Amino acid sequence: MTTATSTDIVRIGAKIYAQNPDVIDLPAYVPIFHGWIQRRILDGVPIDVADYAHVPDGPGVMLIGHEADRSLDLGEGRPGVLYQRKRDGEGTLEDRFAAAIAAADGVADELEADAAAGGVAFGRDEILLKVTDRRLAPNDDATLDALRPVIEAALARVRPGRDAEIARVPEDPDGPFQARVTLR
Amino acid sequence: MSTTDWRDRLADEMPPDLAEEIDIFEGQMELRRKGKIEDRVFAETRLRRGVYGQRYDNGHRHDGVASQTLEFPAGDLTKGPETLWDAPGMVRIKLPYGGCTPAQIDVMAELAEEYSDSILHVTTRQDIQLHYVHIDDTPDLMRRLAAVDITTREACGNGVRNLTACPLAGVCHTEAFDTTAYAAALFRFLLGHPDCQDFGRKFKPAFSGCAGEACGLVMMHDFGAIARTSVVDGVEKRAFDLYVGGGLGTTPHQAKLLYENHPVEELLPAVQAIARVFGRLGEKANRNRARIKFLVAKLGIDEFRRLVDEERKILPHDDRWTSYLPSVEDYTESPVREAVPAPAAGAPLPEGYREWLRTNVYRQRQEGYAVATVALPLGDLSSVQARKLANVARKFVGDAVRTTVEQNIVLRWVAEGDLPALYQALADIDLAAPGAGTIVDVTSCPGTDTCKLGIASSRGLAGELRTRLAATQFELDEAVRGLRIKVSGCFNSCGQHHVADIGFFGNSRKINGVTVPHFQVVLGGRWRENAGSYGLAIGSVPSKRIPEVVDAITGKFVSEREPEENFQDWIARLGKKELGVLIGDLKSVPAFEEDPTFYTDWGDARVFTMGDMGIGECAGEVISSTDLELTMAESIAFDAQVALEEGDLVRADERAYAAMVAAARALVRTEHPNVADDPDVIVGEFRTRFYDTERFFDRFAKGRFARPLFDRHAGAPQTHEAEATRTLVEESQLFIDAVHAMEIREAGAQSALV
Repeated sequence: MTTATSTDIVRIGAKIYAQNPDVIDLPAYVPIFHGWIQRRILDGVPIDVADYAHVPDGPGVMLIGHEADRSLDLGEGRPGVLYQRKRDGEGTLEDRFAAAIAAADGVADELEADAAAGGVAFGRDEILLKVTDRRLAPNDDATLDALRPVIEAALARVRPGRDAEIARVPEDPDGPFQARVTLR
Repeated sequence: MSTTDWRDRLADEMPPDLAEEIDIFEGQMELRRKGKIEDRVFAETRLRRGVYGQRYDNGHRHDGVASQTLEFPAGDLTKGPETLWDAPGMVRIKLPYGGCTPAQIDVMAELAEEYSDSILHVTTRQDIQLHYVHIDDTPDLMRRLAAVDITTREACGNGVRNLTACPLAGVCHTEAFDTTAYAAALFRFLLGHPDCQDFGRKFKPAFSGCAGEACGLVMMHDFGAIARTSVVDGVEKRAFDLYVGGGLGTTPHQAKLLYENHPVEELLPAVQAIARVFGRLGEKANRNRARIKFLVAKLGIDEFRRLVDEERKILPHDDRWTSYLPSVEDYTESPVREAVPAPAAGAPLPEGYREWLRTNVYRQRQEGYAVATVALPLGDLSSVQARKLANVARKFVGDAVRTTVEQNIVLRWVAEGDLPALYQALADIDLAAPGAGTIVDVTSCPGTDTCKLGIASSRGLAGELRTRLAATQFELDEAVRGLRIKVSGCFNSCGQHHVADIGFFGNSRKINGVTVPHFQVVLGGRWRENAGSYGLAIGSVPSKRIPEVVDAITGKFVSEREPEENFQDWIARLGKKELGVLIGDLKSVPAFEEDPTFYTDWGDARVFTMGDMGIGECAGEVISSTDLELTMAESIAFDAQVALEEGDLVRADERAYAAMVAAARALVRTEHPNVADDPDVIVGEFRTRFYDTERFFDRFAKGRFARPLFDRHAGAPQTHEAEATRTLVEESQLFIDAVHAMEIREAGAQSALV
């Protein structure tokens, strides 16, 4: 990792998956996210709710923010919560990966505690990490090699004491860099 | 991993002129950050680069309880009047005639993923829009587009917008000839042309291959060309019928025939001459009268033609007028697969294939090939779907891909024998929904989802209708399945509701002191014949009752239409009066306690008037005299529509004027209860109290909706022309809507919809 890259990569996403996707009623997430904006429970500047539930395996229902988007994401045909940082990253690259995972956990925590979400539960043992920045992080093995120690260090903070298997996601080879983390 | 920036990385791939333009724009951004470019100037600069504002970009958003300030890091820095720098915006990507290659789709998918919300949105003018884009990301976004020969230049602002054309051009059975190469030449010629930089408003061109089909919807465009051929001395000659001055918006105009059978060699200079006349004589101060349709209407088509003729004579010669012509007749798309016959009868086919084949496939005039339509719900597809679709295109059709004004994508030159495999490939990425071009395929503008001008949730309504209709589409009567529904979020008509069989545009009404989202119902527009005629509004209905409106209209159509009677003829036979009765019972709004869902919009959980709704208001049964008087004004406006339909232009004119006076009286009486029932007094009081003070002014339309009242009050027309009367009738309804809107504003209804 170069110093320049460490400070430049900002667009980091983290997704954790629903364990019981059958209970998810997508329209219910529209009022849930509006409620979060009303109650100002989020960091940063939340802006609006975007409903893409009609797009198969798409971004689902999104809470659009200035710094980051949070969503009940339908990508890969596996519903989950996705936290996608867009700008204004703080700290080191390790800090940013750790923050993205923690933010996804936070969204999951809120939903699991919300009766309107129908008792949805999210696993914490599998994480999809994304870097939606093809300039700084091409979707190749070199990027994984460069990022692996950073991701491991971040995981040590947000999933301490766990062994992690980190592998590139082979599907969608022309997509952004994605790594799947499996924790044991 | 590389830290080389996009500017350097793509330096050899971008056309130099585009690269330089983007650098200049980036420099202008920096100057704006330093306060060295004036706000309004930068706003137009930004718009001409395709970088648009978006809802809430003034830094305020009503969250359903109260209006909240969006505390962006860049603070008060703006990118235009009342438009904060940090607020996300929309980027419109111009695709001339909807053409796009798999490589271009790949890049747009990447951009959606990195800078937007992972959604590519196909617009009603064959553009692609990306939403929630930060302005800081736009230079790199433009560079990546430029590297695949796409520009966003003049996608917004007061210039020549995207050029639309029939997505079947070149493969259609009814076209005179393929207009693609002419359209491409005109697009290149007009892009950044010095004669197109001084318009008071936008200018939208369109091409059609024939007059009878919908094709490029020429009749609703600022400029349109319809292909035709004639035989001269035994040789077939290509020409165009050129039309000018069409448009939708608040007051739709049908385009007028400027030149018939105009030689193709004169196409580009004719448009240049039109642009010069429009730039010189078009309205500049009042943007609500600045489209070319108003200039054509004001001058009359004959005088406009004379001016264009004069301008043409003095145009300095430009080689580009004809330099493209030698290659035009050779232009063709090449299929990537050999023509193989369709599957034989009895051959095994994928599940769902037959229905898809019936609605989504058009057999080309070239034997053995077909066009397949990818029906996109609400015009949306995800970045992942887009990438996979690009790969499907590479395999089956190569570069022969176009977007459509119905917010779909077509794959052209599919070998008929490949159709089952193509269907399966599309089904694998959830893009094989049947129903393209049917009542299920509802078109919508962005509306309140992202548009600053949206009044009601057009996408929410369109999605709801689509879901309901899709569930029953195979049970619908064939006559109903072929109808088109189009929804706009406001009167500006971006959803093209005027040319739908069943159209809707958003407005709002104050019911018992609370704002309730509504849609105006517009019936009987003609999609065919290049948007050959426009529907008329028959009444405003609460948003949540619109599905019932669709059921009532389609049910009555099925049960009462004559054999072979089409929808437009049936609407004309029924008349506005009977249609008004049909929806009359659906205009009621239950009390909040009885059904609070009426007080939210489709797809939006915010009960937008909760903050103002005391219990008494919500449960209130007291209807203000203003509401009653406005209801009366609406009734008079309806009479005007009926008279217009019956051809009684004198009465239509008188009723439209009376409706506006009644609405103005209702407003005046809120402050001056004893105002005399004299139009002179009422109009005078209205002007003094509400117009001169600008209290009546809409944030965007300003005082535009009051002009028809003042103009008509100044004197009745000497003669009653059908189009002018129709315009007045429509303007009378818009005036009433504006009075409603002002009443809501002044009542302080805390509504995100106002």
